[in-house]
Amino acid sequence: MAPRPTAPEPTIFRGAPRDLGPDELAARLVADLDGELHPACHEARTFHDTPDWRVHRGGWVLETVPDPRGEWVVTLRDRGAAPGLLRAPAPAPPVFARDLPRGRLRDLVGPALDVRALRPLTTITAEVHPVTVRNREGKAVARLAVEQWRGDHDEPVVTWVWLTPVRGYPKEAGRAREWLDRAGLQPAATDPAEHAIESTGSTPGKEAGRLPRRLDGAGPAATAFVACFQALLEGLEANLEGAIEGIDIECLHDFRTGLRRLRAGLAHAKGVVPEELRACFRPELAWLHRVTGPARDLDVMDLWISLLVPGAAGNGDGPSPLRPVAERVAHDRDAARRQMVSDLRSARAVSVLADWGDTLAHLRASAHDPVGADAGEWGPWPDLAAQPLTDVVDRRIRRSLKAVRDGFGSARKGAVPIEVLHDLRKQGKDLRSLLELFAAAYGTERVRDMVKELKGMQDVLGALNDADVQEQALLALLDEVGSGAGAEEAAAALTSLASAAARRQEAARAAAGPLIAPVAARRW
Amino acid sequence: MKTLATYNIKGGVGKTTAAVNLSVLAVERGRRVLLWDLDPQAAATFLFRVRPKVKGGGRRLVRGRTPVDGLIKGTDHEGLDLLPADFSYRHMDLFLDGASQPKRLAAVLEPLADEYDLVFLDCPPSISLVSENVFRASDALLVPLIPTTLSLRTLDQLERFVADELEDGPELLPFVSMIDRRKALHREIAEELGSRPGVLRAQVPTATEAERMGVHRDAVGSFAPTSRVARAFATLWAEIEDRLAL
Repeated sequence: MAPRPTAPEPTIFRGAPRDLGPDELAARLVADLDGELHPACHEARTFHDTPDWRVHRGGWVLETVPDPRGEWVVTLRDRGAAPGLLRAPAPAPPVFARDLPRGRLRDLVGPALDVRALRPLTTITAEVHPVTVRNREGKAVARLAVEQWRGDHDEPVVTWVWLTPVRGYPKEAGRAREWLDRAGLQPAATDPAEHAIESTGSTPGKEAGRLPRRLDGAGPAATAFVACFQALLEGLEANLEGAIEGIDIECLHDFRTGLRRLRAGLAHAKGVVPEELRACFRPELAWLHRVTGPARDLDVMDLWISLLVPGAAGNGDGPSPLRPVAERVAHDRDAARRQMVSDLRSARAVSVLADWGDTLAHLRASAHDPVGADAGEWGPWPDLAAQPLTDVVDRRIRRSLKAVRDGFGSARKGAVPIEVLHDLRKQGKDLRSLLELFAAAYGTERVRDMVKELKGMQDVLGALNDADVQEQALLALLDEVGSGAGAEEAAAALTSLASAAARRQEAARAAAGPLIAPVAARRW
Repeated sequence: MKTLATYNIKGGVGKTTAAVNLSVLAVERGRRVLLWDLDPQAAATFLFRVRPKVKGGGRRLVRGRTPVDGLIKGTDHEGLDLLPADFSYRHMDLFLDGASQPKRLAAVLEPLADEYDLVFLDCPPSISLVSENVFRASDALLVPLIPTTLSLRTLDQLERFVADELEDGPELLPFVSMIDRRKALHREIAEELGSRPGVLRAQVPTATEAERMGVHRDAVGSFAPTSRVARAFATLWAEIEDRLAL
């Protein structure tokens, strides 16, 4: 978290007497504290965060409100604190770091957002009565705001009182605090933003798709597999709309990561869940993975090119021979995305996830005691379902590790075809998925280092794969370059990019060996 | 944290008016700002309705014996704080005595680096040990110039001093202040200043609204937001932001 000011702590209070309207409460404050009442206003306040709660995790609240001039402004504040950290003109959503107004807002929040987009979570309407307490010089020495949130039918929902001390005038803020205490108000346990978001059914900061933190290694394997499947389903559901709407490219990435883990889990669930179930869902999940692949590949390529082309991703303006390439990639990506959206909206995709959810609901009912029980409509649980989880998973991990070791053995034999390295990358993914899925059963200590090594291996093999895909795509684009104006420059730019992609492959190949060796040397 | 000083060897050129108005504009654009009123006349302190008193006095402050944190006062503008003036500042040269300590003002501000994005130093007119400390503490000097022949001369002096006496000195950002376009001389000198490299293009007119800041005890943007002088300060601040890449 970024350094915070050491100015006095603002406080948010709740618990105003129900029979006291916000105007009456403000009037009493003014009378007793010798304050100045400002005109009341009505605000529609919208809270924003990324799909993975980066604003919340940063300890902030980011909200947009229309200002008196009719423009929208964005306010960033520390969670639990009154407004005032900063205000700036608000860009239209979805908002990326690059869309934030230049200055402190971007400096502070931009790095936390990284490539994720802000999206509106919920909007509340509030009747606000601002009060300023002044001293004899007429100077503001404390600020208060009585704020009543209104429901859909304008009914009062909750009343908050914000107290913002003015630096250097602690006594006056203390007087206001004492007054609020006497009136029965207490410091609020939750920030109003959390209150608003929770009222929509979301839990601020809860990472959808987070795998279980506790798994009983000695308990039935079925219980743990089903718990992991359920968490992954929640992650898929949380990212599906973001992937479809294209809020940011990470929604699709996270969706596909969840799918990969689910597919790996289901692949390793042989003998743990009924075979008929696996036979039904594995091809369907593979299809979902397949139809989302081209859009993801082009997202990655678009991101790469946008870093090279001024203006392509808001990173400055200027002519570039790469601009037509960037435009073509963006065009292809849009086309791939349209196709993906069509597939994800199809009855087939909808029913895969719905059926998987129904299936899990049935499995959960009997997974804790599978001996002699039925796994819903899928017939009896197989033998391994009741075996201790770690007994089952240990065998899977050893097998998966051996596949990586064998793959590494093949990959070391001189200039191997790239397909061998791709296979090794997939084997590494499979092993990593297994470890991550069931890490809670072993303790993170035992798994962490191996996962870290696998990540290093996957990063380098992933870079190799991305560069290979990009080189092929660029060469395909080169074939399409005509002879019109700018064609020569475009061809030269494409050739240059393809060469750069080839060089990245060489670099990745050179770096791969030392990163894979520690994984291959592992024993389980 | 960037430190900007409103400075001129001459008095009555609009230093405090600039410091107050520009600091309020900076806050309105989302910056966390501290204004340190270094002038014992305490005009900026008065304009922000704060008592011109530094607990323990200026000597203890600049010698690091009184923590600066507890001396700061919030203003009526959220996000804009003031380190008030004190009448003891008239002896500031004595407090800063000894050429071996030309960075004492910078040392006072150092603990506040994470707390503020910008610090404005509103300086008393003179060229003295205080000025030298200000120069060493500042990233840029905002130099208001009334368009007269003498102003050109003082700008020359300042440029020479900064170039000759300071290694890695502050950037100079002179601008035309209190221009009265009814006066031919003002127009001529302003034109000459405008063609001089480094001089900001925005020009702040002489205006009754600026004088009325003392009545309203606030920045012009707060009580006359559409006035020429308020708009001129907004243009000036935008230009400063660009020049300093703020």
